[in-house]
Amino acid sequence: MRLFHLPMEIQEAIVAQVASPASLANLARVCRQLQPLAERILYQSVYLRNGTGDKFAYAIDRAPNRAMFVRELLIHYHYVDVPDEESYYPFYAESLAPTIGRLVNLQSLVVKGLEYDAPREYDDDTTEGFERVIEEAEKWRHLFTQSAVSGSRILPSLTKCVLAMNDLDHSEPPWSFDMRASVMIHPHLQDLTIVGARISSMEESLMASRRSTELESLVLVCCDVSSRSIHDLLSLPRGLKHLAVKGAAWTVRPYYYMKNRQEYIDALSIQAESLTSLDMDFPPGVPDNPALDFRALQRLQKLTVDPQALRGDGKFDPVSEQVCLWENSEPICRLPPTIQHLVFFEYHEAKTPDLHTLLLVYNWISQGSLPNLRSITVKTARSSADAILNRGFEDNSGRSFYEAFQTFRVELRAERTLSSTENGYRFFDCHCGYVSWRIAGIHFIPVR
Amino acid sequence: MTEQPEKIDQVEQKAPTLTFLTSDNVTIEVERDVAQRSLLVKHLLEDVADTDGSIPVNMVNEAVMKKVIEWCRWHKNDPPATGDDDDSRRKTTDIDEWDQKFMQVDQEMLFEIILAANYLDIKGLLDVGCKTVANMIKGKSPEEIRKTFNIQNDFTPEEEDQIRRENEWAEDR
Repeated sequence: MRLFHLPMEIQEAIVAQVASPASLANLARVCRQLQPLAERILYQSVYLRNGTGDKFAYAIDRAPNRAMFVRELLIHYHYVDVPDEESYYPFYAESLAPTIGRLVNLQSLVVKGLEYDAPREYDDDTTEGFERVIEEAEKWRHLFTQSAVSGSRILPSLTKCVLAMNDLDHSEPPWSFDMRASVMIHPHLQDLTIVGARISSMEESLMASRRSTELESLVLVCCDVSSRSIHDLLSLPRGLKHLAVKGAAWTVRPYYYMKNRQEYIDALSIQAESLTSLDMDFPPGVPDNPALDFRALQRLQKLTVDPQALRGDGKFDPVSEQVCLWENSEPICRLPPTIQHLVFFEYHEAKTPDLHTLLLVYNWISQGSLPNLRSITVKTARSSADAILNRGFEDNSGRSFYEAFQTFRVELRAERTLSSTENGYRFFDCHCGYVSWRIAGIHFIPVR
Repeated sequence: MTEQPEKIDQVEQKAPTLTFLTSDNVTIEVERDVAQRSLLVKHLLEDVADTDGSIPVNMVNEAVMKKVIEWCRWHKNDPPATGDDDDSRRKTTDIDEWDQKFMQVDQEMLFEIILAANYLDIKGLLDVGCKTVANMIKGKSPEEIRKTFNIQNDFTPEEEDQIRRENEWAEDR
């Protein structure tokens, strides 16, 4: 018996197990019978690194049927130190837009692009080569604009997209999402992650697509984004279910960022009918932040937030240099009654976990304000689960925190998480794909 | 107190069995729980109450059936395959040590085992078989693959080189 005598589905199962693209490329050269089989698997999941984009485009040009096989495309360009930069660079992921437009079965597109190019003699004195980036971004804009045309055959299968169009370099300005914002009008995209971008304004022409896309999950990681821009982004999906705004694009908090935190929550109300899950950082640093009001988000079931956001930061007392909590009456519950899961993700971990907020939530439950709450998960880098769950509940009943919440059938959990300085988000397997959740260098104001 | 272990022994001795009739007309008796690693057999037993008589396995000869049973017996307590493992299977070509030894057979037998596993619907064995063949392909040049599987090269050198250039994007991984 020979390999070819096995039924086709088994031959396919074998080739699928080969997994290594280089081995599959070798297999494609063995004989005419194996070439289509090997290429069908080889082109299913394409991973392009520095210098391979043009070769991939060439392969698709040579045999357009290969475009049909591609389900996943990962473009991963990043800066490397080479002696002759002028001949090595640039690698613009956007240059592949015409090829990507042919991938009719593409479901997942992950781009870690690179805006860098070596200085060129013909560079404009003022823009210093950035005009090339603008030109490339235009190709990208065109690609997604085409995808939104009624009956379009451009990227009709795309449901997942991750965009990081430049290296995450905290000393450089973030890449401009605005130039590539047409991804927001792709009609079928469900899951979009944007990493390290500056998001400011959406073109009027894009805003014409209000409430038209199928986007369900939007994740903004280390983006410089205003509440106004969040409002604009959220104007386009028909029914967004999940939003995450995590990390920051800077090493030092800009004075303007999240001055008014409630504005960010208010910007979400445009999706209040559908939003069930929210995970949002509220960097501390500016004292006297009032407790945030989430009640307009009437369908919200899961909220991941710094616990302090629920009770406000309190007043800063310059004499003791501490924040005084609850000088006035106890904060009322500003969560919608639909909440089922609360996740406390402490922005800056204190040595002791934030039990103030847990006590508050307990009171809100006992007052009937959170009838659907089923679990509270404390994500902590510095406290042990024991220090939270088994700590004596402060009502002299002898119960632990865990037991106290159990009386309301609310499961209190504690999970280990990364600390502020560790890289908390990984969008693929490379050092350039790790980013920190938090803005480093923000002073933590101690709570009395 | 001493009667208890004996009882267990008796139960084990009387473990229900099934009989297979192989393509070369040999009957093989197998414990029922071992045989049920095969989903084909499992579903057959669910559908047919009367399992007296032997189950014909027309596609499988005695030598191959014995190997298949050996695998099923060793893996009889494995957790059943779930839908989720499709993805993880694709990503790893790791084969555990016992399975690696088990698969050290000639190519003819290897392909026969794969065919039998497919026919009898034994996912775990089919998977190990496919991985074994995949490992014989991995890391080899086209010429080495041809040699391994006795395949005739029907490309001209120019054609082969053209395909190499087209798939060059994949070569560094």
